Amino acid sequence: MTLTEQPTAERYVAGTLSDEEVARFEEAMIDRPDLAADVNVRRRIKAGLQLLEQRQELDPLLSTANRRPQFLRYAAAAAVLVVVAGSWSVWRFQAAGPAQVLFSATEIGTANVAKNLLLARTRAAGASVFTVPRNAGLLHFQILVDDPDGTPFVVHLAATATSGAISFNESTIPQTTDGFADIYVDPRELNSGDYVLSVRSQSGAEQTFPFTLHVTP
Amino acid sequence: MPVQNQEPTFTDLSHRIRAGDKRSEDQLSRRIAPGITQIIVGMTGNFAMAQELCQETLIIIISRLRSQPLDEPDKLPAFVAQIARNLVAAERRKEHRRKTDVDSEAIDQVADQSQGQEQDAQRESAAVAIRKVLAEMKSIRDRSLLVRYYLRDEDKKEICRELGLTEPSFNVILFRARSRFLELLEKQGLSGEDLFCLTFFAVIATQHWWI
Repeated sequence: MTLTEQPTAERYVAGTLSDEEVARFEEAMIDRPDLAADVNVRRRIKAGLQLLEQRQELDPLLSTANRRPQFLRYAAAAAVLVVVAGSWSVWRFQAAGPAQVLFSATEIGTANVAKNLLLARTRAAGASVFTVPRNAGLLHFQILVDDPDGTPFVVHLAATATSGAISFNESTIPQTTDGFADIYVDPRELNSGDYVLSVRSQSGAEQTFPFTLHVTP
Repeated sequence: MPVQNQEPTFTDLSHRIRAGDKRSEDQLSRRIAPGITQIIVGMTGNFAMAQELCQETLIIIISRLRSQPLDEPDKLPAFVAQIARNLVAAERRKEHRRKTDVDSEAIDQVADQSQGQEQDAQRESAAVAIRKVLAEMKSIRDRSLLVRYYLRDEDKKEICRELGLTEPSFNVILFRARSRFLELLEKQGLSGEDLFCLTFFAVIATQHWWI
């Protein structure tokens, strides 16, 4: 069925076509089983909805969100508070611990981008080394992923310090551009050192990109 | 290179059926049955009756094509649609007579009940499926969209404007809901059309004495 035929099917089921239009559309349905199948689905959905309405089951479905009982909402809110407070405490006492350094393209708004950096896995090269200014703006990482269609990607950044890895926040990349997955890093919260950026596709396949960052004042 | 349409024309099918090709009868029936059913549903609002009358329509068409070619085979769709409409009209007259014929009341009640039950079952399965689709939709806005579009026949553009949706977003919501609805109907068993097809091809296979 082509898109231009859809409004005709809508109007046919709604009963708003003229007699002549009905005759033409019905002849088209005889010739085109796909058109008839579309009408069939519309009618069945309509018949089901009509029955729900007759039984007065429709209004409750339209006025109620998928709500949990009230006490569960309070419990969930309390749990979130505990987790947030706990996370904040842990973060506060970590040696290098900004909570959020990764941002997706939709999160950065009009923030300034200081540098565009490419992350790619090559057989020959070792870890990339980047020298970046601390206060000039965000770092735009363009990541060459193996499976550009594996969106959304979950991105995670960790510093591989000798005293143990320090994780930063995760972010999501909803789509790729020309085969690259874009993520933005705020260097103000980072120290010079070794890092690993991991990218997990929707299928669960993970790619890791080690790099060294020299953060200049 | 453009892909050639392999679908035979109605003229081809008519000639082959006239020449006794049973495969063409099958091919024609499968192609036109969904449209016939929808024409009858449109006139009667009754899925069960549509299946019965669709079978009758197909038997008439195939019998006619076996015995005598159409003057304008390319106008077969119009011919088929008219036969379906005529059968609905005849059924209505029969129905009217039934209501005034006291003698046949008992027999007709049984027939009516059976068709009514089938009709109820079809509506019931559609209601069960669409209730589940609605319940699975997290957003009240999306549920409202479904009801306004399919039940109230409201204009798509108007719904988009009032709900603050773009048309592609609207189409995605609709596409997902339809897919889920069909999936749920299939889980409930054979669809009405499947049952129809099985019945029809069993019937048509025994109809060669017609010509």
